[in-house]
Amino acid sequence: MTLTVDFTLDGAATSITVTEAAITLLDILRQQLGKTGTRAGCRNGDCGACTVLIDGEAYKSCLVPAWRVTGTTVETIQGLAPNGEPLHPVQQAFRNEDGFQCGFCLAGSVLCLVSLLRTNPDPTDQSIVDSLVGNLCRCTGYQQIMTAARAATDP
Amino acid sequence: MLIPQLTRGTIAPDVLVDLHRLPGAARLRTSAGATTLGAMVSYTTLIRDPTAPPLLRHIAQGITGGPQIRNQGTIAGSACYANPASEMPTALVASGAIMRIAGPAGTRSCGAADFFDGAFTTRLAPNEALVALDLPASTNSPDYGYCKIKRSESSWPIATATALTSGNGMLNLVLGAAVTRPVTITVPPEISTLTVATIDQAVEHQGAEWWADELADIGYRRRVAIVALTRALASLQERIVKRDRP
Amino acid sequence: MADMPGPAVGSAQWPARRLDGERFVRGAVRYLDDEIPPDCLHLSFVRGTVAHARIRGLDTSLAARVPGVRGLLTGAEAASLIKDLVALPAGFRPDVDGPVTVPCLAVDRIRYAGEPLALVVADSERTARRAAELVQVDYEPVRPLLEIDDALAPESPRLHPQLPGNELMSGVVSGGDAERALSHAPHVIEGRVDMGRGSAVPLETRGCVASWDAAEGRLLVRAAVQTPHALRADLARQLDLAESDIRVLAPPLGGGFGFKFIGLPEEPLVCLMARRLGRPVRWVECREEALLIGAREYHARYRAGFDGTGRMLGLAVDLDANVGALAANPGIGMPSVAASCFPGGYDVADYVVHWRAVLTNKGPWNGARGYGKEITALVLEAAADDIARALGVDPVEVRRRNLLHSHQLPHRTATMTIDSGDYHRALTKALDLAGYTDARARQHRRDSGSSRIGIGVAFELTPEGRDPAGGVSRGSETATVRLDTSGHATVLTGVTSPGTGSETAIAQLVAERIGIGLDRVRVVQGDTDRTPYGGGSFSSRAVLTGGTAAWKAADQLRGVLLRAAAVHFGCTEEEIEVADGTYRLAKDSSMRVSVADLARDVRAYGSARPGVAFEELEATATYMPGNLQSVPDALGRVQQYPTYSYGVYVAEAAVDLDTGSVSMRRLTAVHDCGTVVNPRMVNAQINGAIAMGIGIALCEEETYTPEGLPVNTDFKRYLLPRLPDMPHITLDHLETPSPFSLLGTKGAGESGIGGTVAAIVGAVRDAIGPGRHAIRTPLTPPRVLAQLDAMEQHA
Repeated sequence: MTLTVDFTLDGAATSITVTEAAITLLDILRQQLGKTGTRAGCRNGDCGACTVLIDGEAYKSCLVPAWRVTGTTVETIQGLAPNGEPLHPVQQAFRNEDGFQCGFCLAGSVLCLVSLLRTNPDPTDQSIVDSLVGNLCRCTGYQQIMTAARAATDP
Repeated sequence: MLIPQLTRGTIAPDVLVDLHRLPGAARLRTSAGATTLGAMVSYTTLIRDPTAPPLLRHIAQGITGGPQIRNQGTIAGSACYANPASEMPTALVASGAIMRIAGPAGTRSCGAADFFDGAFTTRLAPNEALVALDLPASTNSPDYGYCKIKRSESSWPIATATALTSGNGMLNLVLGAAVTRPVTITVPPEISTLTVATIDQAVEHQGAEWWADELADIGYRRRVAIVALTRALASLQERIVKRDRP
Repeated sequence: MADMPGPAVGSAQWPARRLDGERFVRGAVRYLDDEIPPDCLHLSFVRGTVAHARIRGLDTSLAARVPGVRGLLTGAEAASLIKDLVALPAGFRPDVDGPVTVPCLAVDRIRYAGEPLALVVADSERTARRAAELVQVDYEPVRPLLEIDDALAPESPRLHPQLPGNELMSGVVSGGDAERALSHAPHVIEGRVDMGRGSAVPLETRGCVASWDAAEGRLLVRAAVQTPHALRADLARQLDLAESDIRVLAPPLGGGFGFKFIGLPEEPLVCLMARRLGRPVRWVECREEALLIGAREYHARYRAGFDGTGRMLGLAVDLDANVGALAANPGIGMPSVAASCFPGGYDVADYVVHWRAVLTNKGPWNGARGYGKEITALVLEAAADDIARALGVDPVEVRRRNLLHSHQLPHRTATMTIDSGDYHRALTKALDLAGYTDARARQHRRDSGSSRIGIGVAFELTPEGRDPAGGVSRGSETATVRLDTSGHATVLTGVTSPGTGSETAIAQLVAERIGIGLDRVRVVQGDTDRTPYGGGSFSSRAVLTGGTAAWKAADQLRGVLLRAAAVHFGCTEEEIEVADGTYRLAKDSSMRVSVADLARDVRAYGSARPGVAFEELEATATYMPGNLQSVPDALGRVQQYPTYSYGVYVAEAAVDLDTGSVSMRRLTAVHDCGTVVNPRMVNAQINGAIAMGIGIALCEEETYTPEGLPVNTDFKRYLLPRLPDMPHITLDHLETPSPFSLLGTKGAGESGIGGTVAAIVGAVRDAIGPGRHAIRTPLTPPRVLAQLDAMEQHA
């Protein structure tokens, strides 16, 4: 099988060739497209470290076959403020509040909040929790993440 | 569950069909209270549509896995997988959903209660695809009850129960997760207590079995099944009372 | 004994934010799997599919024929190419000749489901995995031994050929005469605590990428490990290389928690294959592989003697650990540590702890944060709660009656000299913060039909800074600090950070001491070529030892600069103050010189101007905290922990009486880790530990089928706490500096696990009601429901 997949990745028109049905977006991003900021924690859709935005909505990229993203806009953590641009407000909040420790789960939480804020700029705590429930963190006990999320959503 | 099996090579299909490009597959349409869900309607689409049945929207909001799974999981997909622990099969049976199935011989319909045959088993033939689900207006009601019992946030459901009023004034309770296929128990609206015997009977009568998996054994499920049903019932009764109060 | 008094470490004045924080939020941090060298091959292990078996034969022919396969290795072949892993050094057991070893790849027997017995190296990960699945193994299954009783039964087979039985090691820790105290005590309670098997589970799994540089004759290894120097030592021995022919890089970790201690076979085998094939070889652990490894499975029986006032008069504990299949990593030391930490913060002179580590056919252990101290806390607090219940008093009273008072510290036991602390003040503070009295009042009023609130209080003693004599990673640390003529400092440290941000604290200490901004300090860690020999990260030592060593080196440089400044201004050193990146006259701050200029002076004019000494702008210092003793004293006592953090934990939980579900409402903690360098980071550590404690107490467990196959093979089955599982957390601190560490720091990396587990167990027992409870964590809903049923039957 050979499929050409054209999509927008972090603002850039991107074209990849997919030769296996089983290859995930996660693997393509990490191994072919230099998007190592999208992490692999379980490859089973449980931990959320692989989260990306597809057309603005959060997806676990380990569950997305690479061929699925034709014609879509994909955003990774590295695309929020590329080339040393000023940080996205959510990134800035995580920076200011130290909303991470090892950082492995960080992309997932940040992107879920970015997506949330685009449709709900003034979310309640419950909405924040709902948007983060798919992301596992082993370091912070989720406390700093909540602090950063609140700072990002209520500056 | 299917994608990780694919990516790990546990399953190696000869043909893979992408349903996303099926026209109308991602569309949810409600007309005169009746809702049709295309095969690719995600939980998020369901949640965001205020015309969709409240019971289904409530359940979709609480699906394990966060917004990502709500975005990428589909109601039809959950139905076809028929994992006893999944919530949607129970919700579809409770809602009296009609499954629209396409195959080489054309399209056929199958009621949800018949569609779910057992654990991970449906009446879908290998050469058929579930293309839409029709939910009748009669179950599109703001009066519902739902109870989900699970071990912790990461856990899949151990016992679920839905409660809806049926057309004839009775109450329909559907038990899920604790059994291999959803089990319906019809009770009079003034009922105050359910009995384990009633549930056991319904399970046996409807060709279901108690279900066990890594997270809970049969003994525990039988204990909490009645709790889930009782709480769903109480939740429905509360809603009715609130609605009836001027 | 005590080092000179610590200087003021101005934790309040330093910005708390993580060094490199911007790289983190941009997704720019490179973990192990983010660098794949060109031309890299991929390694996949063939793992045993039964728990216990003789291997009759192996057929790799099908696998070898898969296009893209570049290398294959069986256990038999590996035996002549790489030395076995050493689990117990020679002499550890007097009844065994030589060291007790495990092979890297199983040869004639499988000891646990998942044990590697062959490997495949191929062009892609997918190919390697598919080929590995084609390796055919002929097993002769043997009945697996999964429980301790079974493993110790006389008719059960030996699980390790070198050991006469399945008891791996055992010991006794005691003080005074426990049996006498118990026999004379007016009352005795007894109880049982079982802690289910669990694992540290960092979010990033293990991994290793190795390449052989033929031109240099050196092995370059990148590995997700907490202890790169220890890995280097092991690799040298196993591969017959000199340590200096190996460079180990430890990239930033996605969490450690003891899981990334070395001593498992995968990393050495990756290195072997890289050398054999002359190409880089990569292996990244998948989640299912990671969940083969465990820890924390303890079974404890205790007896506590007490008087009518609740004073604990004697304590006897039998502590058994099911350590699974033998492994060569420090994880097997945890039962001994657990025993050594009795009687915790309690003033009990007469106690005895008999402990055993028993081999079974479960997966091997590796380190897990808490390191045994969590079971110690759980047992002590269960006993204290039992005493309270027996006397009909509030559990707090028993703590009041028995916790050591600050004037009693330092306090010597058989295995510890507890340095400092104010346990009673912490207890009062925690209870205040938790609104304890009100909570108790509300609890009694509030008994709603289907749910009951329980409150638990627990004290946790957390010895830190361990110096494991006999191993290559010790309790000391060395740091080099270099100052350049730009006025920037580079710190080279042998500690690593598993993601805690300790490098920020280290940088703070150096910046403050030299007198430069935090943004002018770079910390280099995780590179055995560049940094001094180090112990890596374990036992919360990064700031305690690594930070202090760096501080000492920075202090030497401060001296160099002060001398240069004194010459510069023609004054005495005492007349100079250090502030805002300058050295200036205290009496006239307009007379100032920058650190950069001073550095240039030292470089250019050392012994070339009157009064200017020739000095280097580089200092190296080694630091080992006081209060360590590895040579047994006249009474045979040793102590391997220099400093003792502690905390009080108050948990409020709601128990659903119909389902057994436990829902956490509040967790209040007052913690003391001595001098705090970075308060935000300490809080962060406690929060993470609380979450781990919740996981251990309520949902995490690695279980097995009767055939010995692991059940909890992914995160749908091994249940980690998520955001909605977390209670409302309130933290506060005391700062009782340690008299034995130079800066008064004690280490904050493990505090909170045992205390949280114990407080939650206490809360659930409180909700369930009085009576004898079998405590078995995790307190899953089915277990709690069974307890409630047992209470009802009893009633």
